Amino acid sequence: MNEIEAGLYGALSADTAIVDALGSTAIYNQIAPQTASVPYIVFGPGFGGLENITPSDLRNFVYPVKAVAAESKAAGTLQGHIKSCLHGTALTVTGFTNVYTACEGQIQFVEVGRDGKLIFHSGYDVRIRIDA
Amino acid sequence: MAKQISVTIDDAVLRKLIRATGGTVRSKVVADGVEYGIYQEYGVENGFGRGVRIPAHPFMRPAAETVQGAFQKAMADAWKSSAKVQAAIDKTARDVEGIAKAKAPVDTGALRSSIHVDDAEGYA
Repeated sequence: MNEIEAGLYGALSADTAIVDALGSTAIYNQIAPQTASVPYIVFGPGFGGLENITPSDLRNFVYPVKAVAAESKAAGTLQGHIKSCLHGTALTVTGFTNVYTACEGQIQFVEVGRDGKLIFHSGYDVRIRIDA
Repeated sequence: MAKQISVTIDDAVLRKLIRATGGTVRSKVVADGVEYGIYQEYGVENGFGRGVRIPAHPFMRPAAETVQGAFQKAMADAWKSSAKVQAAIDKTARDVEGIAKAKAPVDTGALRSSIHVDDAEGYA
């Protein structure tokens, strides 16, 4: 887990609305354990990198952050909590100053799981700009 | 008491672009042709149809992000003619297609091969 991922995990796991909705701190980096049950939140590196437009170390990343749940309502509720937690928030990113955090593209789709059960994915692409 | 204010919107470039295209919406779609493309893009619970969780491997969104700056520059210069507007859109779509193919995860190659540029009709 890099500095940004640690910052994301710290913010999400400290959010009482998220923890209450999940009923735990089931928040995972990149992939949930195969044994973990829904609902949970998963985030991970999306895309981005060094900006190279200033003498400083400005970096621009997009991290998808999404809730995975067995019910549409639960996924939607968690999606709202993700936005409340991260949109416009200053993340703690060790060694960097977080200059911008914002929810951008909406993630919203449903897949058919085993046994024909539906699994709902809801969240945001979260843009994070940091500088050192 | 209401106070009237005056706001001037500089939409000259937008007006020229609309004039150049005759008001016609110009667009292209870059899509993949396999049902699991979205699963690779965002990660899923039921990977391979066997309930295996797979992490996200974004390939389409990074491609769009990469060309965004160049597209904006191209459009700023494209207002002179409808052909230039269409050419800028076509070039951008081809660029997105190429980058997405380069970034697409490869197992059998079916996903990579299915990425294509299409006309916008039929896409929501």
